Amino acid sequence: MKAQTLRNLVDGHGWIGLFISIPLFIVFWAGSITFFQPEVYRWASTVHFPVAEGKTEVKVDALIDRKLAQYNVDKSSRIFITYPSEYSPYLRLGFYAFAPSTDASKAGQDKPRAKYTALLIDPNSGETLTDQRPFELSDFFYRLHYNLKLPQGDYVVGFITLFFMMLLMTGLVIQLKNLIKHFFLYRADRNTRYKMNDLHNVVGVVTLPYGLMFALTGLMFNLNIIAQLPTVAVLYKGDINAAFKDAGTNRINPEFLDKPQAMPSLDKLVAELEQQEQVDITGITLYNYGDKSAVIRFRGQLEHSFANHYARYYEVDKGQFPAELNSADDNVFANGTRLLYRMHFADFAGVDVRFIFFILGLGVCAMIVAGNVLWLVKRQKRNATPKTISIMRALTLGGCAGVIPATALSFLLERSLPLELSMRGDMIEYGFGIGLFIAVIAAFRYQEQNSLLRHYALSGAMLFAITAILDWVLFAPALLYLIEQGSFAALSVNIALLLVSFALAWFSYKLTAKAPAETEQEKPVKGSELSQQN
Amino acid sequence: MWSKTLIGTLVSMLVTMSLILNLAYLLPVAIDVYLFVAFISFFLVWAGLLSYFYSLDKITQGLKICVPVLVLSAALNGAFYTGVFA
Repeated sequence: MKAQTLRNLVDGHGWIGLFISIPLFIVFWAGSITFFQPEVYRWASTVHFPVAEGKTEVKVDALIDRKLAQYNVDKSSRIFITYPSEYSPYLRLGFYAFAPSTDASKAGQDKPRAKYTALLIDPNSGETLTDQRPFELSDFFYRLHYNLKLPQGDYVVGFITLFFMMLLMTGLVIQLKNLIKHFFLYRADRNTRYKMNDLHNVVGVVTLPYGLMFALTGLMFNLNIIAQLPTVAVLYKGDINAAFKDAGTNRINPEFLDKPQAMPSLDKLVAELEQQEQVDITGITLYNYGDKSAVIRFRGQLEHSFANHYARYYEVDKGQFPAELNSADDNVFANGTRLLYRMHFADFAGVDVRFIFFILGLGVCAMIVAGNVLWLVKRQKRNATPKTISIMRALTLGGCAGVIPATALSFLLERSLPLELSMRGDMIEYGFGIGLFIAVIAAFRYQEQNSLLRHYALSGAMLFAITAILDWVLFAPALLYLIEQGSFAALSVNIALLLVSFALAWFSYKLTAKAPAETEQEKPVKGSELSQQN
Repeated sequence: MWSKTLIGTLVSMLVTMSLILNLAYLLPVAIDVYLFVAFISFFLVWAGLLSYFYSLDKITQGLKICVPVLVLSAALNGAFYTGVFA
C-alpha cells in the first residue's frame, strides 16, 4: 500500500475518532453496564418489594379485569402482560389510561390523550406494588446506550456507530502489516506516546471481532430505516406491511368496533400452547381488549432454541390462531437478525459470558481514551494550538473519566431517593447528567491531570461505597429475606459495588504514589514506524 | 476532511443503496434470504466505501469512480423496475 494512502487513512482515522470519541465512550460505557440490566433492576426494586419467586403458578384471568377496572383504560390501544422472569420477579401489566374524569368515548381530534401506565404486581398475592415506574436506573443506562437521551438520539448514535465501523475498518488496514508481528506488543518502558499507541493497537486487535459485531448490530438497530428504505420504496412500492410479512414479522392494527365480546381464558390458552408447542410463554399483548375485534398475541421463547423466539396471534371472535396472521417460523431474515440481536445483548448465556462482554466493552472504552491521549501527545509535539489541546484534554478527561463519579451518583440516588418522590426516575437521570457536567467543568478548570483523575476515582469510590453501605443500613431485612429465598441478584450488585469502590480507591492511591510527570523525552519517529504508531 | 465526511457519507450511502437493489434483481434467492443479505451487506458496504473515501487525497478522486458506478447501477435498477429487463 502506498505511504500516502496509509497517511490519509491515519488522518481520517484520527480525525473521525477524535470527533466521535466522547459520545462513543458513553455509548460503550452505558452498554457495558446494560449487560447487567436484570441484576441492576432487581437490585433497585427487590429490596423495596421482596417477593418469593416460583412459589405459586401465575394466573392472570382473575387479575386482569380487577386491575383494569381501577383505571380509565383506553381499550382501543394495546395492553401488555409480562410474566415474572430473570429480568423482573414481578408480574407486569402495562396499558394506556385516560385521567379518571375523562370521557374516553370522544372521537377524532377531541379524543383525549391516554397516558401509559405500568403496574408492578406481586405474582403471589396479586397486590399492586406500584404504578409509578420508580426503578428507572437500569432502563436509563439502556436508553443512554442507544440514544444518549438526545432528541433523534437513535439516528445520532446510528451515525456514530457508522463512523465507529469505519474506524474499525481503517484501523484494520493501518495495522494490517503488524497485526500478527506486533500482536500484544506493549512497550511499558517507553514514553506515553508509545504506551498509548500500543494500548490502542493491542486492545483494538483483541476486541476487533467483538467491536465489528457490535458496530454491525448497532447499525442494524439504529439505522435500519435507511437500510430498508430502497427495498421498501422500490421492490415493495411503499407497501411496508408486505415487506414486514416477507421479513417474517406480522404487524397488526385491528380496528376497534366498539361491540362487546367475552374474552377467553388467557391462563387456559397459555397452558395449551406451552404443552403443545414446547414453548415458554413470557408475555401477552391484548389488542382491543373486550371488543369483537380483539386479538391476543402470545410471545415467548422456544425451548432448546438459540434464536427462535415464538409469537402467535389468536383471534378472539373466531376462537382460533388464523394462518394469515401466523407466518412460518423458518424465515431467514427473522431468524438471522434475531440471532445477531441476541449476540448484541449477550442474553444467550449466563453471567459468565455477559461478564466477558462487559470486560470487552470496557476494553473498547480504554481503546477510545488511549486513542485520544495519543492524539494529544502527538499534537503537543507538533506544537498545535494550546486552546485545541486544552479543550480536547478537558473533554477526554471529563467526558470519559467523569462518567465514573456520574454513574456512582446515579446508583446512590437510585438507592437513597424515597419511592414516593414524584419524578424519581427523572431525578436519577439528572443526577448522572449533573455529575458528568461537573466532571467536565472541573477538567476545564484544573490542569493537573493526575490530581483530577485521583479526585474522580476517589469520589467514585466514596459514592459507590456509601451506596453499598446504604443497602444494608436501609434494607438489611429485605436483603436477608432475598438471600433466604435464593435470590442473589441484589447481593451480587451490592458486592460488585464494594469491589468497584475498592478498585477505584486503589487506583486513586496509586496515582497519589506515582511521580508527578513523565520526564522521558520523545524519540524521533522512523518512517517505517508510521503505521505502527497510529 | 469535512468534504470527505459529508460528501463521502452521502455518496457512499447512495451507491450502497443502488448496489443493494441490484442484488435484489440479480440474486436468484428467496426474498427472506435477500432481505437478510441486503440488510447485513448494506452497512458493511457503506462503511467500506466511506473508508475508501478517507484513503484518498481528494474527494474528487472518489467521485470520479463512485458517480459512474452509481449511474450504471441506478440505470440497471431503472431497467428492471420499468420492465426493460424482465
